[in-house]
Amino acid sequence: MDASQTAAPALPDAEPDRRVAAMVANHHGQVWRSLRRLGLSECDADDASQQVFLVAHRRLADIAPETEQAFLLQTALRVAAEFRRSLKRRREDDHEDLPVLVDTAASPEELADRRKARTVLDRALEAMPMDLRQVLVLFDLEELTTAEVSNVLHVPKGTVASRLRRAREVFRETVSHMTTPRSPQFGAGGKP
Amino acid sequence: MEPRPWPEDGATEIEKALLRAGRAEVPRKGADLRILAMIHGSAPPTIKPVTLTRGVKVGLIAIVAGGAALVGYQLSRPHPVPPSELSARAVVPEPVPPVLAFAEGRAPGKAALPAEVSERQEATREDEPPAVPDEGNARGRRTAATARTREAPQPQSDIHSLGEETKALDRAREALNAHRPSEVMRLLDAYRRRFPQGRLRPEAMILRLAALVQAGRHQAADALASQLLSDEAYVPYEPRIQSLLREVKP
Repeated sequence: MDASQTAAPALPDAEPDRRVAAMVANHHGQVWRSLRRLGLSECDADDASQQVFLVAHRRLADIAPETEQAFLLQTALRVAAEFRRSLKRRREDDHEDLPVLVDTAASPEELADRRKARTVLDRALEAMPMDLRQVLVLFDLEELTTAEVSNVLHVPKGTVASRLRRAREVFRETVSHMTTPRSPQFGAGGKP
Repeated sequence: MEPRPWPEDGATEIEKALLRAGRAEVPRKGADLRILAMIHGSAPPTIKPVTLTRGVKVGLIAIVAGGAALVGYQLSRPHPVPPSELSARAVVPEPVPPVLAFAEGRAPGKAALPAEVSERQEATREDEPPAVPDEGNARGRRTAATARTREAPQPQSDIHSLGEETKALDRAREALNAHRPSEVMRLLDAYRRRFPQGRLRPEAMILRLAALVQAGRHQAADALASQLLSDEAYVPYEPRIQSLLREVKP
């Protein structure tokens, strides 16, 4: 047996490795951020990202190169849903760990602090129905096109546009409620 | 009709600030490398500690003790081969078939460069980026420079070395994030020497490109980017390379 025959099994391994590495390089940030905005803590988003790319690695042969992004984001939505269900069962809501900061009004200057802004963002997203939240995250935060969102969510483009419109309305209303100063006579938690 | 992005579509200042903050969040440093390491099996995903029962603990202790006894017995036996020969055997690499070089996307001709030519290419000059194949062309070097190999064994790029590669590139990435481009170069040179056939070579090259951009060596960065873009192995990295190039040519 010559040397090339000995090494033959290595051939099919090289290309998938390279492809997975490129997928991680090009899409990891987007997948991780989407997981975060879909309600996962930083640690859970790390774990969930690993799962997403592990699934992609296993199903590499089924993923056409032009559909990699859509596949990864679809998988991320599913994995995020599983994580959230699991968290609910364990009663370990991540947001219990977040600092309480929305009892008082936040000005644009205060929101310049990105961490604080992200907490407000996540709370506003948490208040939205999941179908609207997914569209807002993919279109307005991850800057996908309507066609790309439509591919990821398997819904018509018209549905994406109408969900996006409603999502922005709900988001605006929630943010406005969270950031509007309340009358001092009712205290921090009271309704005006 | 395609909806317009929100910031252009009448978002308030607060909404804009929230969207900006959401878009700006990035994963932890090295998270991508950890994913690759996990996929290749050298590092497990972040797992919760396993509680061992007493029986399992006793079993593990017995296995470890038995193994230690066996190793001790083997060491105490007279060895038929002189130790000097053994150590030489341990570090002499196996000849690499050309087909394996092909599998790594490298022309066999490039891999078979004479040692002095490879060395010249490997040397990192301040004004010039290294040639693309440098991260892994040491296969030819290994056959040509066995003596040097004996002095500094080159670990095989297999599944077990991936965790080490990940750590090495993690350190380079940390230096990059800390805006220390010369340290990044030094770490990447060390990576290249240690893992001439490393699986994360393309990632190392991208880091090198980013370091050149960060160091303001735009000419060198441009040249390296051109080399990478003309190499088929880097086609999947094109978006990242282009993004780095935009910093060079705003």
